[in-house]
Amino acid sequence: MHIVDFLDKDNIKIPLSSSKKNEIIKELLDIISDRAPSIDRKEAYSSLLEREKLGTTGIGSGVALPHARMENLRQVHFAFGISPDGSYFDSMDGKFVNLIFLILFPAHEVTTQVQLLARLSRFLHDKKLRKRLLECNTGQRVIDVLTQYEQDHFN
Amino acid sequence: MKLVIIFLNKIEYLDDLLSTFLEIGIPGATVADTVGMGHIVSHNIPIFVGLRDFFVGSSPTNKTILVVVQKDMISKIDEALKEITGYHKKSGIAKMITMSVEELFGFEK
Repeated sequence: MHIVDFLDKDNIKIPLSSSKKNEIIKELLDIISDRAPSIDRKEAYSSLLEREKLGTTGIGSGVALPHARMENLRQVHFAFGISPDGSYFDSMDGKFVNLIFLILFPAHEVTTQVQLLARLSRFLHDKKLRKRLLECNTGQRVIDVLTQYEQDHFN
Repeated sequence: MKLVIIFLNKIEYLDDLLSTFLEIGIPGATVADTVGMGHIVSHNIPIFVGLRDFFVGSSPTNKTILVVVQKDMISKIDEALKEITGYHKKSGIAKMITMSVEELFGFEK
């Protein structure tokens, strides 16, 4: 399993225009729902907020991984955005976030959820990778950086 | 000799299981308080908090029982475990593994 198997370059927005948590979630969700109109956007948004109520997905070091599981979803939907100046996300370390990965998982694909979140949170501990991602100015560049990183570290 | 390891998730069966051990001739075993990985990740690692509903059946603690026995005792332990817990019919109750013991030290002859 690779991150880039799920993330399309057209689902990446640089820079994000929003600067607050719920607005960022909406902005990234718009990217997904524009490309996959069959998704119940309202349900997705409320599922993402419900997940945030359990505990913030702003995991610190400028990274947030908002995510939710949804019934009637056939595949994983993934969007990524960069907020160069940092945005408020109620993060665990109290700092602003720059790298935001939003993921919607089909309810039945728990294994995918576990593996994808584990891999993302593990490799985003790497300061060098975070820096490289922050330097990206196109979706394709993000895909290239993630692809290279996974090849170097996980194969 | 064999080392039998039982991972007992439904700890309410522990007393009956140990009593049965005594009945079938197992005078001693080690019982450790342990925690399943699912419980730890969904409660201690924030990014996996959303998986709590998936691990809803997992208890905050389970027991790991270690006991060294003669090979012929393994089937008796399995039978006792089946009778007491029904672990062969439903997942999530208990698991048992066995392995060969090379040498023993400190055991009574």
